[in-house]
Parts: sequence; structure tokens; C-alpha cells
Amino acid sequence: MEKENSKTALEQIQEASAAGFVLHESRLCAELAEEELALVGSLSGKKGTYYFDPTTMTSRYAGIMLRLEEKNYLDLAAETIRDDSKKYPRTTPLGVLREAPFSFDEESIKAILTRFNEDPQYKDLRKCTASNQAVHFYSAEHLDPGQAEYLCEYEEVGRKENQ
Amino acid sequence: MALEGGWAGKILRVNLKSGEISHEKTEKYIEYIGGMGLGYKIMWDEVPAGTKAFDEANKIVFGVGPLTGSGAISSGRTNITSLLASNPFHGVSDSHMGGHFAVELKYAGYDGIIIEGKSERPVWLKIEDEKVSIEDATLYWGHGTFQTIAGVTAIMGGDSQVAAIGQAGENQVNLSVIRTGLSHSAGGHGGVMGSKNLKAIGVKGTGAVHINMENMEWYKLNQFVLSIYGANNQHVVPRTPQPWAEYDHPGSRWTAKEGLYWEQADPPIETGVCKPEDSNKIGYRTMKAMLDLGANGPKYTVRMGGCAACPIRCHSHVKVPQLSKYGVDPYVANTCMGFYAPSSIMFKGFNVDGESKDDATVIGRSLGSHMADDYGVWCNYGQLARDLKWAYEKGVLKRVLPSAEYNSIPWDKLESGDPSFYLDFYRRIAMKEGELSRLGEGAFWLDKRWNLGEEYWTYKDNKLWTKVGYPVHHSNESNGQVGALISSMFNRDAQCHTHQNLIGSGLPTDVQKEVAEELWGSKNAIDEPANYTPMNRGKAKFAKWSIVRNVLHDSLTLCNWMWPMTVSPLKDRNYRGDTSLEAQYYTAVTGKEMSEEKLDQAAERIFTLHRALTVKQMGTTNMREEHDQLTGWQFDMDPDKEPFTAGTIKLDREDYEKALTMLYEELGWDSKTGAPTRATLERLRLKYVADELETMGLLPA
Repeated sequence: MEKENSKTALEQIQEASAAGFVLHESRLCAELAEEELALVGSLSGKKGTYYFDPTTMTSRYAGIMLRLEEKNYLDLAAETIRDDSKKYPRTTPLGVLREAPFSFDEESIKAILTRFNEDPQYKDLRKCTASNQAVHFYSAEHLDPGQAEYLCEYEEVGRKENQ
Repeated sequence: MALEGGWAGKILRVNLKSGEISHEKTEKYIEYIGGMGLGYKIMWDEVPAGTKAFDEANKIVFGVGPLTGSGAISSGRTNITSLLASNPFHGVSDSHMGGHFAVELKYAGYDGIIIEGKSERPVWLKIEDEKVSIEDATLYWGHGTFQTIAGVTAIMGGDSQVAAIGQAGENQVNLSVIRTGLSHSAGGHGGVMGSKNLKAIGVKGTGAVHINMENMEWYKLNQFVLSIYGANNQHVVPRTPQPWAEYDHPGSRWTAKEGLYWEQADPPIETGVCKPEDSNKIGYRTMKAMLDLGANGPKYTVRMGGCAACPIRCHSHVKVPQLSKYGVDPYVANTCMGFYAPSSIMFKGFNVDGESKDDATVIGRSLGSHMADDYGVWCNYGQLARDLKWAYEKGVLKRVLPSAEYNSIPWDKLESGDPSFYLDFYRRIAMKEGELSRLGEGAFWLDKRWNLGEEYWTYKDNKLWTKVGYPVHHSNESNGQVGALISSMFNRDAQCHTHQNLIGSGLPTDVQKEVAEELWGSKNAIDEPANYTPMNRGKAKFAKWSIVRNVLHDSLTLCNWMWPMTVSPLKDRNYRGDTSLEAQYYTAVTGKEMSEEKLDQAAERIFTLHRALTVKQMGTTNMREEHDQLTGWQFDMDPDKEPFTAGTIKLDREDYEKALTMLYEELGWDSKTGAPTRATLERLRLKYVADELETMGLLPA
């Protein structure tokens, strides 16, 4: 306990990142000094600022952990799909959201899919289904529907046939 | 010129007819590096044009290179060169196997083995350093590869390595393999060994490969290579988001993560997260069983295995107790098509009483893998299964098989998903039982015999790439024209992974484009997947470089499933790899200063010799029309889509011809015919090839 109390705010952030988490500002034992601020990464969420150690955690992963910390699964799913469609480009297998680090349960996934269908701010998010019935999502703002269909089928079926 | 490092210095020549065993000096072959280059040079010099694969005049060359056995990373490959019986004109081709045979051959003091002539009786070749003998193989003839390898190993000792054929090779089935270790198969040339009555080669060596570099420098070089190594296929991002990774990709073979176990290990071993800097954990990065055997693969995994000098363990070693019901050993090892291709034979899926769908998949794929390996049947990169499916579903088998034979085949097992269908199917293929066994002749000969019609070739899902009778292998789905060109240049399925490893690295297309600009002078050498642009010079350079490096790796020998190091997992290197490493290794091991450009030129020499061998064997310079043309579906697929629109990998006929022209130009071949010109042959120090082709009237005008 004594050791725990002797940690600096910087060490708290470094330990959290090494364990795969971001640290909310409220959990810091002290304010970060200016020279410490230069060593950490920070992201703003709906509930405040979160810190991470950029030497052990990328900002992309920190962003995922921030959303999980805030239980903002809907935005996390939407951002992941849009990011995949824009950056790589690729479709996002629904199965990915069931695995770590997302680890969404079926109830959460159902709620997310319902919002995708009903909320206009997610109208760019579309579903495609491979011939093995696996479901993927993509953003029509970044990916042509035909290209998305191909990529979905390749990921689920074609990749295994082309090893 | 003395060879001071890398090469063993001599090549073993065995004449199975006369029983003569002799040595060649390696020096005269070093312009061809080794492995594949050695094989082509010997085939050019010694096997007359027009020879057929199973003729006594054909030879088979087991080649290794200067890096084999040196400890260079991923240098455990054996290259096998001979004529290929499944090819319509019995063109020269290569098959490759990993494992530990290659390094053992080097330790025994050889850079290759040339097998010639035909024995009058079944024999196996015993190599113990200088002591080489031809042994009676009567005891093994008629048996599978597992029993044969075990038998020879029992004689030579557990520290020997054995390469053997199964019944398929003995019976000169065109689609047959040479297998070594538990799981390493070279597809295509088993029948050549069979035609020579050569059942197996056992090798044991007590020597070493000499390296011309100070120990610490060698250590540093290897440590650097390890620092930029990725997972299997040089995938450089993890499969799932992880704290250390900026990028990830669900198609990546970097499967390591928390909670993933080799569950049959005792105790179970967790792969855990394997960061790029943890080079001692590279062996945990890829757990191939979860890719090859489906969701329940990890449940049956004992460990991952692989080849000599390779930290990537890409072969799944599984224990499947249910296999004892089928009379086979529960321990099975394989990778990629070794599991997947037999699985496709059961195209109706698997169904095993009392087992879940996922368990049935593991049982089925493991049983299929074992049966194909034991009989030594080659899948022709999955084509065997597609041919069975086509012939079955189109009613061809009912037409061509005698009714008694047709009715004797347990189709009910295929229909119901009972994996014991394999026991019957592979036996018929390997033993050449009945008309069904013609499936083992390969696509070209099958069509000739069964008159399958044009639709057989042009049906997209049959995946036949050219009329030479082999299928796609990282073709137009792999960067459009680049994969397409690469796939059209060989005499079998292209076994080139240079381009595919980059495309499949998991890095975003924009990062790949930056790499393309640095290496081939144009970002446009790479397109987004399934959103292709018309042919351009950058793509031609990318295609040439991919082939040249593939040929280089099969000559050095390095594993082209990992090399070249085009990219890396390191963000602080901006994900760049180092394409000069092959040359650095060459210099370090052989002591001969070598640049990247010069080494690429040596590989270009080897590939141009391959083309010249094809011209000579086919008796025509018109490679464009006679060799490099596609079957047609590539241009006609997706009728509702135009080429170069998003969502299709469709090619355009005119653009493909332009692509061929550009690649020919890059290679210095005649832009009209695609045959090597005298100027290029002379530039590559192949004047003797130009002279011989000229006397045969086979130099382009």
C-alpha cells in the first residue's frame, strides 16, 4: 500500500498503459507537471480527459479504451467501421466486435445494430453478407458498395482459397 | 575460384541405371547461385528438348543454396527441379519443401543432388557425408510416405532427414509429391522419382556451413533481421487491436493475443501478446491451426512447427484422437493448402456422428491431410478438388466412368459429409484405380481425356488460370495485373509470394503505395483491393521485382513465404523493411561482395533461363500466344461490371496485352512474342543459350 501511495501520476499512467488501459484524470494522484505532460498522450472523452503512455500504447488503441471506459459502444463500433473503410480500406466483420478488446455481448451488439438502422447519423453504415453468411459492416462514405461486397467475400471465403 | 563460405563446394550425381556415384564441383554453377538456378542450368545442359517427365532421359535436381544451413533466417528450403508431367508440354518446373532436409544435405557436404537414369528395381539413396550408397527399397515399395520415412530413419538414425514418395509417386501419378519430415511436401515431381524407381533419399551430415563474417557481426545481422520480422507471410500487424499496434487486420496471420492457447500442449501454452521487440516470442506469433482448422483448431493444437533456421512456426501440429476411428495416427501436422485442399474434396462439408460442426471440420481436414500426405497425392493447389466437384456435379463422372466403377465409389459418404470418403478417394487416385484416377493427371490431360469442353476452362469458380492447366495462385485478386502477370509466367501455378506478402501485410493501402513509390518509382504500382486502375509502368516493375525476388529466394535458398523484407512491423522505421538483406546475407556467408542490384541480376538470369527452357521445350518463340494467354473468365467475370471499376477484379483484354508487353520490356524480352532476345541473353551472360536457341530457330527476329 505504501508503494502504491508513493507512485507519481506519471507512473500511474505508465502502469495503466502497460496493463492495456487508459487513465481518467480523476484517478491521478496529483496533477501532471509540465515535463510529465510532455511524456504522456491524452484524449478527450465525453466524461473528461484520459491519459496514456505513448511508448506502450498507440493513440488508436487508447481511443478504443476510452470508448470502452465510457461504455460508449455505439460510437466505438461506428468509428471502427468508418476507420476501417477509410484507412485500409476494408469491411469490418461483426465478429470482430465480439472479440477483445471490444468484447461486446450479444445484447450490446443488438442495440448497436438497431441504432445503425434507425438513427440518421449512422445512415452511411451498411451491412454486407458473405456466402458463408458472415456479416460485415462498412461506411458507404468511404467504400463503394460493390467493393465492400468483394472485400467481405474475400475476407471470409477468398482468403482461405488463396493461401 | 575457391568457394570459402556458403556453398559446400560439390554436387552429388547419382546415376540409378549404372549405379555410378560421382561429384561435380559447384564453382561452375555459382552464377546461378544454387537451388532453382542450379536446377535450370543442369536441365538446360543435360536434358534434351522434347523429353517427357517420366522418360529415363529426364533428371531431377534437389538444389540448395549458399545460405541454406548457414543459419540465415528462414533458410531451410529445398528446391526440386525437373520436367512436370501435369504440364501439357512437360515444361520445366520447380517444387519446394521446407523442413530440415535442405540443411542436412549441406551438412553432408552437398549443394545439390542430380538424379539421372532409372533403376531396375526399387531403391533408396543413402547419404552419410562422403559415404553414398544405393539401397534396396523393396521393403518400402507399395507403402506410404509415413512408413517409408520411419523405416529409413530407423536405419539412418534420428538425426537423419528423409524425403520420400508415396504410392502416387511410385505409380507415376502426375499429381504427386515428395515429402519430408512430418508435414513438408513438394508438389509435382513425386512421379519423376517413381519413374526412376527411387523411393526415398536419406541424408545425414556431420559437417558445417562456413560463414565469412565475424561472429558478432553475424549475430548483429541476424538480430536486425529478427527485429523487422513479422508473422507468417511477413504480415506485420496483429489480427486484433492491441496496445502496441497502430494498425491491425482481421486477415493477418499475426494471431497472438491474450487467451489464445495451444490447448493440447501439456500444460497448455498461451501465445499471449507478442510485440515486435519480443524476438524470442516470434514462434508464438502465428497460430496457424485457428486459420487452417477453423474455430476449434486451438483445442487440438499441441504446438506449432516449421523449418530449419526459421523462427516462424507456420505448421500446425495437432492431436485429434477421433482419427483412430479411421485407422490413422491421431497426430497430424500440416499447413495452408495441406489442410485446406483435402477439405475441398469434401465439398458438401463435414458431418461426423456425435461431433459438433467445428470438431467435424478439424477431424475431416486432419484426416484428409494425413491421407493425401501418406499416399503422396498433390492437390495441384486445390485444383484436384475443383475438378472432382466439376466432374461430379456436371454429370461427367456418370458419363465417363464405367457404371460398375461409378457405383463402387461411396458417393453417399461424400454427400453426407463422412470423412472416411478420403480413404477410398485417395487410394483410387494414388493406385491409379479405374477411370476416376484420371483426376490425378491434372487439368489439361483430364480435359483431353474426358472432353470437358470450353466451359470447364472459362467457368470462373474452376479458377483455371491458363490453358497450361494450373489454377490461380495469388493472381488477379492480388493487385490485378501484377498478380495476373506473375501467374502467367511459370509452367505451373506461380509459387510467388513476394507481391502477395506486401499486399496482405495488413498495412493500409496508402502505406503500401509509399513503399511502391520508393521501390518501383510509382505509387500507382499498387491499387486499392478490387478497385484497380489500368496497367502502368510501376506495375510492370513491381511484377518483375516480385518474380526476380521469388527466383532469388528459391536459389539462395530463403523462404519466399517470408522474404523479402519489404515492410516491417516497426513504426519507428515507418513500417519499412530492408530489401538489401539478401545481398547482405550473401556477402556475409560467401565472403563475396554482392550488391542488391547484382544479386537481382543473377536472379533475372535464372528466370530468363527458365523462359528459354520453356521456349526450347515448346519449340516456339510465341510465348505471348502459346503460353501466356488466360482462360477467359478473368475478362468475362462480373458481367454487370466494367474493368477498373470498384468491386471487381475483372481484367481487360487489351489492357492485359499491354501488361504483357510492359513486363516483356522490363525483362528485356521480345515485346511481340515474349521470348528472350539475344541482346538480353548476352547481357545476362547466357550467350550459350542464345547460340543454342538460334540453331533451333528459336530466337525472336
